[in-house]
Amino acid sequence: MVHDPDVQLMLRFQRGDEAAFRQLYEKYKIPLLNFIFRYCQDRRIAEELSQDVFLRVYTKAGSYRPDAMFSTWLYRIAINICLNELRSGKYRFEYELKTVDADHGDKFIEAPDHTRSINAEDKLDEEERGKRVRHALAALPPKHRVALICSVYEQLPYKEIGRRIGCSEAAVKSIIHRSKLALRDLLRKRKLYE
Amino acid sequence: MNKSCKKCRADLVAYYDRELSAKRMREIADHIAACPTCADEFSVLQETLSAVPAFPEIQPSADYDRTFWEKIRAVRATREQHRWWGVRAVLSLIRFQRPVFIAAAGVCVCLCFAALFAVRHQRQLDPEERAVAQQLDLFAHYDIIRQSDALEHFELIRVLDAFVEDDTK
Ligand SMILES: [Zn+2]
Repeated sequence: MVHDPDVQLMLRFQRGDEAAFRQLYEKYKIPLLNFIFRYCQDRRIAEELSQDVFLRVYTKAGSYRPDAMFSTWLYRIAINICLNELRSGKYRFEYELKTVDADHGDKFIEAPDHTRSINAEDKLDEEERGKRVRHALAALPPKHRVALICSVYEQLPYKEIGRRIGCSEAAVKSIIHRSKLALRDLLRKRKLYE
Repeated sequence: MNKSCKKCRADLVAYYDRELSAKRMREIADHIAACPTCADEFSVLQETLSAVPAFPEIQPSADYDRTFWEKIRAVRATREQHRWWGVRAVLSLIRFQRPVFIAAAGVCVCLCFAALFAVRHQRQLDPEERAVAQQLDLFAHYDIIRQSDALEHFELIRVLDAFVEDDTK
């Protein structure tokens, strides 16, 4: 069995100890909320989905098996909920509007790139860069987006990302490679229309 | 782009993330040290990715906890209701399907008695087994039996038996 204090808490909850569940909820509610927020970029949806994740932990406790870190199991549930709910659930319409907006809201064009190094003109202010990252994330396919969030914002190793999204380490390496190169290019592109 | 540059570029992001084997990490480091184009590519990657702006961190809204625990209470209430539905279903079955229930209960009782009877009698020996058990003291005298000359002539006895059998046919 995995040596993880959270696994012990989950097993205690499985045996009926509600205080153990409360401890897990308090520990993970903010990280999980922010993880989902980075994915869907909507506070209201993120709050509802993160609560759905904890509800699922509560109701599916009986089928929990301690064969991985608790956080791996929790984030797998979160990723499943994100992928399914936003694709086909009640948030679909709202969410699609947002993604379309992120895709076409700004028009970027590749800068004429002779030097291949960052010069003063190429550097974007922090706010603009933040906006571009959010747009870049929204434009990625769902699994790629999750992988990039896990790597950039949670600094997780490829192996753990693979466990969370259900991919091999090699597949994660390829996803991260493409996503990070795209992100790099996007952060260096100049905006055509101000 | 030559072959070693191509290979280097394919691993550049993983190199930045320190996700390569120690051997491969050294190879890329050596290549970057010797190849200005790949070194430039890497420094651009490093500069942009290390400066990816933090995503705005959010805090749960004021009624987040209240809403969540209300949902949990609702789940608990539904579970409780389902438990009572189970009991109620059995009670209504007893009330409205009385003959069926009585028959089923009767079959259950019979099955229980049969099982009990089977378990009780399983431990008792049948008459043949009992006879064998009663003869068990023969084994106490096994060495005497073994030494009796009847056994020495056992083969002869079997041959004579065969003769007698043939004669009677
Ligand atoms: Zn090179």
